[in-house]
Amino acid sequence: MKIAVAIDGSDHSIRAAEYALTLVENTPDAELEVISVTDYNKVEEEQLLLQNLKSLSLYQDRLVRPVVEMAEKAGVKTTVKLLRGKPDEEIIKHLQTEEVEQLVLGSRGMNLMQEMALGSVSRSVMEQANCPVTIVK
Amino acid sequence: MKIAVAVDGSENALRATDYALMLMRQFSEAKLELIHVIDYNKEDERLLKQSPNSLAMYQKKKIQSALKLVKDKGIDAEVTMLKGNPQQQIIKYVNTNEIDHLILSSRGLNTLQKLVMGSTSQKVIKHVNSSVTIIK
Repeated sequence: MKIAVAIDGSDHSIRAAEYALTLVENTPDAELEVISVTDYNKVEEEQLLLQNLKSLSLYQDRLVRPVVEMAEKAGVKTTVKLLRGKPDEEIIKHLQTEEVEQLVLGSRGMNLMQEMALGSVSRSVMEQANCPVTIVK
Repeated sequence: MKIAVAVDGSENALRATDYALMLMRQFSEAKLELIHVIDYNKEDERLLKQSPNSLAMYQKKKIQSALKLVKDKGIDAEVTMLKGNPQQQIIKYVNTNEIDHLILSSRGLNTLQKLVMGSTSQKVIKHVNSSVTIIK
């Protein structure tokens, strides 16, 4: 049984990871999958990284590492999946191709305006995913 | 830790209950609660308003299958019956009763239905303070 958590480096996603980890620890034969999607449409640093593959993987590694370390400390079997593109699309595509039995997401707690402008990743993932999705607040 | 499941008598709600039971096994000190909201804006449910007795019967029936599932596992669950707009009632209840984890089932609406009726789960997720799991 694979339990996946999507990480973006925020506090919310760390809390989501903690929850996913508790689930994995308490479920026999479960393993944790840490998903991180780099969004090329974000105008920040992520676009700059595009030009250099090595710095891109370093950047993704930095996002994922705290969670992987947490999992290692707990003695949980962990795989890391690094994706590139639009976060919601990539996560859904990934869920469809691999057998993930449970997805855990953090909620950024956006207000209506932000949601309209930015689009809520958790919302579209939730609507389209074919497994149970947990939003950790 | 308090885990709550919103139950409406549907197949999906049973699966949500199943998931809650799975969580209950993992968190040994957790308490389980089943919530049913009767919606007065729905035709058939509005008729029931006239007789408190039939209303109680109706709510009991809706929650029965889920309750049986829970009892079969030897778990004690609290049952809460609410009346009004499902989204608002659930949000209010979860936020005032310190629920740690809410489990909802998705009705699997298509895009048009969603536009017309609005998705209960989306609104609930946005406004509750607890973590939420959506069961498909």
